[in-house]
Amino acid sequence: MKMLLLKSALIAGAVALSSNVLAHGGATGIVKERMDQMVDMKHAMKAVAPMFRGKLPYDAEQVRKSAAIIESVAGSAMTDKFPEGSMGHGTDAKVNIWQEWDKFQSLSDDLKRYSKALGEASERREKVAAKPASMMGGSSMMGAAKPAVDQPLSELSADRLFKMVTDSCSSCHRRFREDKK
Amino acid sequence: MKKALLYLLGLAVIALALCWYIDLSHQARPVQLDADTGNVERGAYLARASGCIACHTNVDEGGAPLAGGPPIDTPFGTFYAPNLTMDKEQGIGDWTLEDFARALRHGTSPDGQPYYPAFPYSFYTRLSDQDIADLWAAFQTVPAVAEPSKQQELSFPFNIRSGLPLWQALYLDDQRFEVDPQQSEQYNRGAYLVEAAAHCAACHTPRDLLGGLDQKQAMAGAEGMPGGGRSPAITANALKENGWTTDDLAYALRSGITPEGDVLGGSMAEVIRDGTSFLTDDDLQAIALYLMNRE
Repeated sequence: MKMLLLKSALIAGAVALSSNVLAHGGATGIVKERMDQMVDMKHAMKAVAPMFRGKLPYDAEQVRKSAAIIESVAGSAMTDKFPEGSMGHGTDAKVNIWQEWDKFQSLSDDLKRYSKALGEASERREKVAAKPASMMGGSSMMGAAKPAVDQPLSELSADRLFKMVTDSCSSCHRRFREDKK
Repeated sequence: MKKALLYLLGLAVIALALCWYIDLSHQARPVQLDADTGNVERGAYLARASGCIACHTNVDEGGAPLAGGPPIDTPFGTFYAPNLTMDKEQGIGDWTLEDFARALRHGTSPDGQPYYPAFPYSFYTRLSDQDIADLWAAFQTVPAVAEPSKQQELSFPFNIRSGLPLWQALYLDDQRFEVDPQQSEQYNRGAYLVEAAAHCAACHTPRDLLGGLDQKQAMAGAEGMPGGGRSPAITANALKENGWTTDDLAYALRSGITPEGDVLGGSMAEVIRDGTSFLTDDDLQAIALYLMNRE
């Protein structure tokens, strides 16, 4: 009986331990480091998204803080955490990162420039149209790409830059992250 | 592994045998549409909502609208959405409205060849006559591009096209979307967008060995997404358990941002970029409301 209890306890302990590791994705080493950076960005986004969405009062100071966090882990701070072939260890990264390294680098650099500009534009608001104004005839409804931004970043509103930051997260996740759940 | 292969082979043999029974003639069946004049703006909007543009445009490579999509890797092989521009040789410029309707409703080409269900006609068959006329009108406005469509690269036994009539006999239900009078107008609008146009279940419902949707696990999430990975469960229960609200869902379909601050990736990023981000707030709310309350 005692033996059985001990066994059960051991198994329960092992399960608890392994689920604890799993909760952190089981990541180790440099994979863990870059995942932690991603989590920092996630929290930074979570703090400001409701403001741009109009769910929380706008706080320019928080926008600067969040933008600074993203800027600090974007660009080479991000790409340096992806030495060639650093797979396994609980990573969600896809191997094509290294096959399309230039693309990965340019997306990471975009993120750095956009988040920097977002911090600088924190006081500049703009009501962004919820949907594209026109549907057809040279417009974007039937067409492919979004209109390219022809203004310098320093003239764009925080709202527009926040969308550009989001879109570069999305472009990168679309190509280089494998969704497992 | 060997067992699985044998199993597949067996299935293929049975499938082929059945095909002899079901259809060898590949005759295009007639389609009757109760609409002739399409509305271009409505059609363009619907083309966004239905993913026509997302799938048939190679956005990353700077491809022209509807001139053919990027490779879609699936467990069955690689699909390429063909050129749907008005080019008479390479596109569908020589089609009639009836041809177009037949493709969407019966999943067959003008000469009766069956299409692979990667083209989600089992959802589009729920579109109304007017929807099809509207789409067709919008397609007319897209410039012709003389780019040949790419060949589908499927693995055995799925590369045998004569198996497709069997697939269609098993899984294609030629039925229009029906409003549920017990539900609100908003719920019904959401149901129409989710179940017909936007064909969410194509990715969020697991498929069986023959590529049919496993309705017992509707919206329960699935493996084998294009480019790898899995799609999450989007049943009402799963969404609620994961802390989503109707507003959060609508916002995620607009922006890609989740309540946790994550930004959605995988093929959903494409769906949002080329599809749902173009929809009205009302429609995104309707989609979200339906998903959060789906029975």
